[in-house]
Amino acid sequence: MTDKTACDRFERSLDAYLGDALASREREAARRHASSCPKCLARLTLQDPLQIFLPLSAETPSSRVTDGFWDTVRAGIERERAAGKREAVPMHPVRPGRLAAFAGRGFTPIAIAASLLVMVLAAWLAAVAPALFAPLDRNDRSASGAGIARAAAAPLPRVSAVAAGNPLPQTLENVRTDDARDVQIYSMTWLDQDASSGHDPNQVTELILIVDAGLKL
Amino acid sequence: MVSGVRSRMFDERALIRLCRHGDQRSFEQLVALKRDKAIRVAFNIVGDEDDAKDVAQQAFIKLWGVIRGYDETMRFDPWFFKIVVNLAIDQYRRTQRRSVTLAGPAALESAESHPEAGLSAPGADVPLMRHELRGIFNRLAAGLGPVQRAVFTLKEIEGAETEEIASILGIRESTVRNHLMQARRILKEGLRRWYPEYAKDFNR
Repeated sequence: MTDKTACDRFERSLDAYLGDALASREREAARRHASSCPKCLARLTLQDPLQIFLPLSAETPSSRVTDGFWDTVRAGIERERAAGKREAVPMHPVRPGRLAAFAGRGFTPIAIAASLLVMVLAAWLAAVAPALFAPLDRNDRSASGAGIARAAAAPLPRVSAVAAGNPLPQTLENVRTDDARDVQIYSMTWLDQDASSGHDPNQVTELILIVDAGLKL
Repeated sequence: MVSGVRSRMFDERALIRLCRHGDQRSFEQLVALKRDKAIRVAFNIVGDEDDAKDVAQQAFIKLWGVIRGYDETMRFDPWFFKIVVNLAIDQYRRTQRRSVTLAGPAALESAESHPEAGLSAPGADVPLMRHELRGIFNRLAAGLGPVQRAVFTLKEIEGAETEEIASILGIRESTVRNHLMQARRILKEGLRRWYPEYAKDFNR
């Protein structure tokens, strides 16, 4: 839009734009106008020469770059699948400052403490409220290849929050080992969104706890 | 116009929901929707079109792996561009290391001795051609650190809010402002030195 009204409107908002004082919608409108109107862009760059780079926001990639783009992405997805890379399980994205920050700084001792807490909690629950846990099918050995048989199809209980902001067990499974021990598997996953933690900020972190009450230490 | 924007947002949400349920055809549409911006943002950070393409493709592959975990109450673009920007920063760091190892300071000297010719100043009759602008930006931005470059790209070129940039980069808003100030200072100095026709009315 390079009509006079738009140019007048832009000129009126120029100072506010340069002072970063426009609301986001007005700011976006001003940016769009300036990047497509050479006259207003020139007016803007007289005030702030670095605004000459604004038209780069309207740049579209060449066909050399876009041709075959999706095919490569799809091949990459297939490759990841073939490599057996596990896809992310449903998880709670955590904002920086909460779990991610906690995970980045001194994570190990806190994780150990959290693991112990969960183990104690699970052992206590199993002792005082066994009905909370799904009944096990003692004859089910169908999936015992990995040494563990999954419990029968009874609905699995979800473990409720222990404390807001901490990694919470998201799934709980009762399983029976080949040598007939009953164990509980807790799984917690989260997305580390804190780049400053030094971890890969998009990495899915998973913590699995196996609680084996019958294990002899 | 507003209803068009709403409808587009609704379509995007529906698309993302389908992607979260593993619909690859919807994911292809989502890639088509976000591809150009992803390549552009990556290009502005890595400074090379082929590297930018690789970064954007890697970002989409990664996105497919984690999209099931996307919380639909959060805005999608900052969440997705966090992947793009971080991959681009990693790529830029690798490239910087490579060029320092292979070329050393000679590369900078060589760039300094060949400033682009025939550029049009702002306000001139002939508008600055975009590829010339791209050349100027790539040359000046080579003097920026990866995070400074990402901050400048997101703030001054993409028009993102400081808060959003802080969330994308996982740093504080004050750190974003600091990086932006440094980036602007370096770019202004470069502009003044190599392209004084754009800096003659420097008063900020």
